[in-house]
Amino acid sequence: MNKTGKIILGIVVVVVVIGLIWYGVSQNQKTTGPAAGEPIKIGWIGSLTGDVANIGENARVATEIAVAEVNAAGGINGRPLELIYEDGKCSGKESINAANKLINIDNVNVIIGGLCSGETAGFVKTAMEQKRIVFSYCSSNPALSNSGEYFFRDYPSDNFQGGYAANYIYNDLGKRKVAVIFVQNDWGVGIKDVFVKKFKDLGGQILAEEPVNQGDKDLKTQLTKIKESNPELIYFLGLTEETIAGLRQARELDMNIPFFGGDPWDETRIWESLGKTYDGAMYTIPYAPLNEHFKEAMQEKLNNDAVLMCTPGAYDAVKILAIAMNKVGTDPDKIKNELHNMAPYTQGVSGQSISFDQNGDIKTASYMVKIIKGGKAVEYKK
Amino acid sequence: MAIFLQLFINGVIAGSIYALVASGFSLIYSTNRFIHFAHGTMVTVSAYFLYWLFAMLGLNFYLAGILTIIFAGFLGWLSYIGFYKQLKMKKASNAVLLVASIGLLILMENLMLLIFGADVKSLNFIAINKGHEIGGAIITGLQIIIVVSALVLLALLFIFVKYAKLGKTMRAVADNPSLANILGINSDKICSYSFIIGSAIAGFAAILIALEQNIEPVMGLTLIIKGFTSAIIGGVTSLPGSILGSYLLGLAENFGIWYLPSGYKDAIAFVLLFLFLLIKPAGILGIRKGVKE
Repeated sequence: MNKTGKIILGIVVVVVVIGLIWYGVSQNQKTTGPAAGEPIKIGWIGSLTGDVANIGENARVATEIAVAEVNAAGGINGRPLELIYEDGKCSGKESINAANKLINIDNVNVIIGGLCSGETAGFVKTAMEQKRIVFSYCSSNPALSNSGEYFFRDYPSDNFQGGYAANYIYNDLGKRKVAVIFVQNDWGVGIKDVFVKKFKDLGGQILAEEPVNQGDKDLKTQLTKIKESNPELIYFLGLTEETIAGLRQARELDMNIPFFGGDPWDETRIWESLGKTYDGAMYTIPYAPLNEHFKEAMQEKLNNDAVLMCTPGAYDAVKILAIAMNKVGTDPDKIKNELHNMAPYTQGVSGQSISFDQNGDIKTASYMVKIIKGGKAVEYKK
Repeated sequence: MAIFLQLFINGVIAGSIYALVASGFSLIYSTNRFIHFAHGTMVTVSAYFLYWLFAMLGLNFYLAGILTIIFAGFLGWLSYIGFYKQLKMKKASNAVLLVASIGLLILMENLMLLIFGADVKSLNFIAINKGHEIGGAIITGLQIIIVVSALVLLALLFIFVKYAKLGKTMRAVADNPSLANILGINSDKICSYSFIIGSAIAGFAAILIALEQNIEPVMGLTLIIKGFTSAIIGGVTSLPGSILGSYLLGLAENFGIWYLPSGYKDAIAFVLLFLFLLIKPAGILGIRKGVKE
């Protein structure tokens, strides 16, 4: 054996020994843990890096708050909740790895997540096959409704949002000729389809439908094409980066057409980055009855008052699952039945009354419109 | 006509950005003969360095810009001396160096993620304003600067490689490293110079890209993929070729989505890449030499 071979062998031995010691210590800790009993492990998947990282991080903080509150109130029949956070990067490719790890290695019965629709779509099938509960707090693609009987979400399907936006733009804003820019992922395409159909049904005209790739930072040609069609309003279904780039380039191309967006525009970074140039831009977002207690808890953890679009849903997801598990234990089949049949949850911060239909979708959803004023999003009241 | 001109301008702007990345990449490739994928993160790290100096420390923008270019050159030198050279001394093959460079790219991306966080950073140095109108098409001041400075820089680079002594030596090493060694040229030194110059160009690109497109940890990968594609199309061993390839790619993408749905932008780039790899693997201006491994 040559010198390099010996070094490699040495490294392997050291790694194995350290691994064994670490494993032994962690096992030891488990057996001598507090009397509160073994923790119940739950998986969490969200976008902690990439295009919507800020939204994901904000939701993760709310999840931590909810877990701490559940544990402070006695946990699940005396056992504490323990969450394992995994990064799905707003992509189905990444989330499937995260979910496989959670299911096969951590052996969780419940996964809270994912955040993006594509993220959830990436792993939901595997999770259904393995009979694990998937509880998404932010995925809105209508196609997810058919995922399976173990799938739930407390974020409304885009069937609601796309239709609401079409109705609002046609009736309340009185616009008849609209162009659509949408990001090419499960979320963007899902909401665009619903919007276009509804808007045409109402009697409006769709002048252009331009897709952009997620994370694309050059939308000049899409905007040039749209400018030619001369719409009265642009419905822009972008996530953070496409939105910043697109809005900025639209202004540079001298387009003074009003913009209307979807719920990802709740991301404060967009408006910080654009300054006051986009005062008057509007977007829809599910109405979230935030209470003072929740806002204070977030403020304390974050040192700012940002509560982004996915955050209330993530908080409620933990609370709803905790109630169900306190009642029926951790068996996925029992949790599933309990969630389908539970009385509407009325303590929520993401909706006033949360209950699930046979697809795991929430039965009712209400939206509000926000408008940008002085570089900040505020609720729009006519 | 206005839309044609606008699309042409859009294509030239995109092409200039690709050219700034591709030229450095191609310079490093021609002397070193391995694919330095981490060239993309040189842009990323430099852009964050600029952000740190300008937005966090509050330094004067132009001073910060100059420091960024110097930093980028230093970073390139470091990556050669501390990383590639060590592997080369262990007789690593080109395939190993390619994988290592992807590793370096991922490492740097994650370092930036760790230090600066995942969210998008903007410099906010230039206020958002309506661009200048030229014959019905619109271009902003910054975009004019990008195009002009790309052209000037690339012209200077071309003159340097063609006429300056160091440039000539670089070409000699690129042409035949063993012969250059026999003639008393320290090819190792020349390789490190090419890393310094190529990375400094990446640093310059970082400034312009940071202003035009904001900063995020994963930006380098997209940039190097487009830069690499441009270089292959134009001929990776030829500096003017890689620049020509960049403009061709920028224009093809932007005119392509005039007719096709805009989601096909990247598809156009890769179809072009495949076509060239199949039909003219050496690229437009590249010369097919006997490759020895």
